[in-house]
Amino acid sequence: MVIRLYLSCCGGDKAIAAVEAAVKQAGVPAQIEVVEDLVAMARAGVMSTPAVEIDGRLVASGSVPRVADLANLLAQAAR
Amino acid sequence: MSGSSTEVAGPAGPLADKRPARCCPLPVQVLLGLVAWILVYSQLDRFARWCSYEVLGLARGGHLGGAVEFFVADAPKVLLLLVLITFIVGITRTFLTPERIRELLVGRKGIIGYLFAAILGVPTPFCSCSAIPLFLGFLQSGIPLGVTMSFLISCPVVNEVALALLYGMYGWKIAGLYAALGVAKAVVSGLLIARMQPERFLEPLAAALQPQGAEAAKALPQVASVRLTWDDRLDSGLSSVRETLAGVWLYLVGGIALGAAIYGYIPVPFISRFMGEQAWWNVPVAVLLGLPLYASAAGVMPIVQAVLAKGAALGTALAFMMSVIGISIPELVMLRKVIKMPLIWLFVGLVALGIVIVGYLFNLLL
Repeated sequence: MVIRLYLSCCGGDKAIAAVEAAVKQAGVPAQIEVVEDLVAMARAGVMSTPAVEIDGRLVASGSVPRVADLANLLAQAAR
Repeated sequence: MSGSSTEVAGPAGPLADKRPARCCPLPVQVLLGLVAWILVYSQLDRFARWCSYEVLGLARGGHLGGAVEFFVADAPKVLLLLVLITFIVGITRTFLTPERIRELLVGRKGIIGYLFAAILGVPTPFCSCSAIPLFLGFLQSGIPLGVTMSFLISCPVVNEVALALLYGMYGWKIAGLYAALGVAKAVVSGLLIARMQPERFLEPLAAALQPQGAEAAKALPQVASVRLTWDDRLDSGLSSVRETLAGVWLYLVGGIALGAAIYGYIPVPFISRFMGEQAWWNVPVAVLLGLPLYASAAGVMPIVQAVLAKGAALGTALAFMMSVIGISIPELVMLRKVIKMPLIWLFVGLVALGIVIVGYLFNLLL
């Protein structure tokens, strides 16, 4: 599973930490990519950062969900 | 009010909803908070006078007395207003996401598009970082560049923080006029920009993202929307408050200290000579001074209040405030990635011109 985290200048570290915690909590194997390129963001339909995309599907835009909610989403995506 | 959840990463297993236990439901906490807010706010002036004159025994009408009274009354007032308005807007924004705004703007023809864009810009904050993805997102869905610019102009200037503070200090007429003029300015600026074929000033990376046909505009990835409960929305409001306070408190304290100093120590003739009604060139100078400076609305407001109390003309003071919060160099640097210089100059020039006009209008009307 590929998780893409779209970030721009503010608040990156907290977002990365939250995603990592969610992956650990869900216990699913996942690869986390951090994307900061504006064009890639635009093509993915990201309009505000931070945004989270799981296997190409945008699940959060503008904020990183609570770790528990994100872990739930990851678990669902793994099935 | 508790509102933050501390998540502990535990072992994988049945994932129950890990919301923290609360002593009472969030809506009740919020209600109690509001009641407390009203109580504190209404008592502040009396408290400040008591502090300054009874407790510290300062002379009425003296410099230090005035400064302390100002500081004790206004610092908490400004903070309280800020908390309230940020909370309300935080909740509003869970309804008005960038995606929703885009939906509302796509396909609107004519002036209505610009009007919508300017009005929607009011509750939207302008984080310099998120501005670019938003800009590109609008561009991709075929929203005209002029409309997008109207939005970008309205965001920082007609700013919920400024509105709340103006309302709290000068009443709804002034706040309403500020909002109306700001929206009008955003609409007119957007229309003017549209007349100048602004697309030619897009940087290549932005220009390439424009939809090639009517169909391309529709086929944008949608966010798999998570259903938000009211608890989520209230939580979002509370975290907006926390974030704003964290980002703003330093500016606020600095601004209030400076404001208190101005109020207490700089004599009236000095201020009114520079910012009072007499000199006609005050407004443009105030705007020019404010453009390269940047502070959040909360930070500059106490200074504005102080100079107003000392005889500055309202239009001049507001013009200064609008230009300080309206344009920031970091914002322009970010925009430069997607827009070429001529359009940036046009953007700044129109915003500045609009502010000057608003400044003169306020001076004339009041």
